Amino acid sequence: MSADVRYAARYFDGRTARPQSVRISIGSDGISIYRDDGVFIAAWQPDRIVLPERPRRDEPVRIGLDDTTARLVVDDPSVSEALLDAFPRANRRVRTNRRGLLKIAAWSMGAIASAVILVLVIIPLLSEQLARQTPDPIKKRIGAAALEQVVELIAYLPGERQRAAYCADRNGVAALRRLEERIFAGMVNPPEIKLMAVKASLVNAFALPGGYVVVTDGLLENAESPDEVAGVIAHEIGHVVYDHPTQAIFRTTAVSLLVSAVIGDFTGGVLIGAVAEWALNSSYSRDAEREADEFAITRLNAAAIGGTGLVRFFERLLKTEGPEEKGAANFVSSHPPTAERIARIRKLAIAGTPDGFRSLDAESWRSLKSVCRKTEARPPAFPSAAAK
Amino acid sequence: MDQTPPTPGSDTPAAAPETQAVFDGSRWPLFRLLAVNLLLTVVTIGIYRFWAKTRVRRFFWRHTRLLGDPLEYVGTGSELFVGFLIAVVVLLPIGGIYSLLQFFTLGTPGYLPLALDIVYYTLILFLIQVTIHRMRRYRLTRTAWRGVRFGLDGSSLRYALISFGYGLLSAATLWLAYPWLRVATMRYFFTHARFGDTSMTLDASARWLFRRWLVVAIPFGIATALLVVLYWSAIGEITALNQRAAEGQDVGNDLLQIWTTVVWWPALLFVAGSLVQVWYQVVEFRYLLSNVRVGGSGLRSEIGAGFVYGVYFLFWFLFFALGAALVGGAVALAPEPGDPKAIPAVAAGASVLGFFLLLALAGILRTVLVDVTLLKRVCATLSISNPEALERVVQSSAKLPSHGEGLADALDVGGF
Repeated sequence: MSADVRYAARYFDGRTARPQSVRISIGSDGISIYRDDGVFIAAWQPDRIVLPERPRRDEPVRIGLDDTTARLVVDDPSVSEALLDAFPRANRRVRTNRRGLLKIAAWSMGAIASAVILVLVIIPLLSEQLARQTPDPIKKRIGAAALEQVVELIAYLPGERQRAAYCADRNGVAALRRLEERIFAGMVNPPEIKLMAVKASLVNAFALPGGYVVVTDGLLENAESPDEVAGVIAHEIGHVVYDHPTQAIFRTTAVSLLVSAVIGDFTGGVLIGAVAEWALNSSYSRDAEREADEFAITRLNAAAIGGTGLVRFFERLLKTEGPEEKGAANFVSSHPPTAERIARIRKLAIAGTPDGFRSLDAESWRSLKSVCRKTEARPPAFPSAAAK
Repeated sequence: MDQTPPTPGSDTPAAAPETQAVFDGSRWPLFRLLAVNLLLTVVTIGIYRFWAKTRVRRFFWRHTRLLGDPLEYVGTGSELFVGFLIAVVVLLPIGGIYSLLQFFTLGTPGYLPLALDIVYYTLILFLIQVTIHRMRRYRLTRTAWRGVRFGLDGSSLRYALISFGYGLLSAATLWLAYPWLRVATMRYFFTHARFGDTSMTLDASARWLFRRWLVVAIPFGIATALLVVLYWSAIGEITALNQRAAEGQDVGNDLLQIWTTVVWWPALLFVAGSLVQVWYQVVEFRYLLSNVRVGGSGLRSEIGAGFVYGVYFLFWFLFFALGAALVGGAVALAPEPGDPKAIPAVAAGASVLGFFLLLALAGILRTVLVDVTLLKRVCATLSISNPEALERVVQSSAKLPSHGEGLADALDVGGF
């Protein structure tokens, strides 16, 4: 490459906005810039010469000096070839070199790793702590607010009756109370729970903060014996005892915050939606399910009801309906009854009777089945613990 | 300059306006760029958006030529990404605290949750104003022309206070004071903006704009007043109907009829006001830009509202035609009701996907058809007086911000 190949150029020196008409020569020692009258004015070092954008056909070639805004604009398109011959590295984009890309990759991996740790470790730990620190009156208030929201949401699922309905048949409610007493039989300091049924055809049961335990009409209809219902309710009470609903609300909120940060929409107000969404959709962690199962087994054993009913209920659900039915809002999808769980209940729980009438007599069972014959638009009132 | 609209003819530069500013970007390469960006952004669950924005800006800047020389965008995607990480650090705690407080006040009767929401959204609104100034600073410091960078001084906090204060005033006067908000914020922006070491100035009068703004404000005002009056006169009937509905009677048709009479005329006025608003925005743009000076040079814009209306009408016509074609296609392909082979979840999923596809496509088409056309027009009608003065501008030694616009990205401020 001889040093006397010269090109006419417009030169912006990066110090003033005045264009200068210059001639440049390209050599192995860089670019030398001369005024039109031949006076040397500047030299660009080879390792700092870049093409800030890819040269395009029929457009002047722009040559840059790295880390500055100084530019040379050359009309002759052959200059880009000469330039790349002399300085092959000029083809890099300004200030985005290999090391820069590596740095970004490292940062991104770091960000992903910290997000994973946040979701899998820190958020669960933190939500457990926060749930423990939350005073009971607040949990009750949240539970009451969430209850109305969830029941409303269920009512508007496809195939439901578009109107929230809490079951209020007197004999049926009394049977629910009896079932609750049977589950707590002999328990020291039983937790204060608010057990109720709502009219909905989907098969589900769930617990909310503040001791709310809700079963649907659909579940009562699907159940073939009172012991099956007792097993499900004992499992839900287990969630209440371990405070899983409150933890889950904290967890879901934190995760939604994180997600909205990543996808870049940060206008807040995630909690409200998260509560209802979680209660219907997202499953508890496997640990939480195990804890609730253990509580249920202990109670079913102590009350001499046994695990047969719960196992039967699970097995029938698994056989008759997949998780697809009713979208994600049924019992199967929110409490996946795995073979492992069923085996565990079989192993640890005492056997019940095959007909499943250890928890309620036949008359109470009939009353329970028809608890939704009469409904109310508002949730039932519960006497406070002191009044009991 | 205060009281009269800018008249073409005075201050006419020597060169014809067409030669002074031009946007020569082609639509097809831009369309390809935007489509690839969309794909990569979706695939990377949003992380690519910083590099996507940078590539789009490089395109727009590169093709904007003033006095023959293009603008150059010298920002990078990684700067935006670092800004985003910083924004997350600022916003996550705020969001976290808000969620916690929301949790502890959920279900409490009365004013507490409302007060919390008001405080939170006020804070977010204020942060957005802070963000606007910071975003403009980043973009200007990453813009170079003829080897010299632009810049923005001033404090983003002060900008936010001005914007927020005048915003409250506007809201309190039912948006009558809106021109004062615009002039105050634009004046703060332009007087702190500079090209190299040369500051810009804006000599604009809110009173001049106010007289034009009335054309928009009056239909809006009448519509609001009419809505209140009509609703007030119908409130007795509506309550009676609601009572009958509570008793289980079907009053759907009667209720609809009342609402139609209440809403019809105000809605018509709102639509009229919105149409006039495009005209106002063009007038305001032309007025503000024509009163900006950079050192010894001045700008002048002669863009007309008719052209802008034409572009928008064509775009919306195209958009609705496209939407109608897609909906028609979906209806034609939809399975018969009761078809045992039809899977409702698949049909629902397909229509949701189609909807988002249409939205994304509309965004891209809007940029390619509307933004490019308007930018071409803005450039073609822009003239620069005394351009020689710009050659005396010297690069500034002010420090550059090291990272970009994270908060603006997180709070969804600004287009590209």
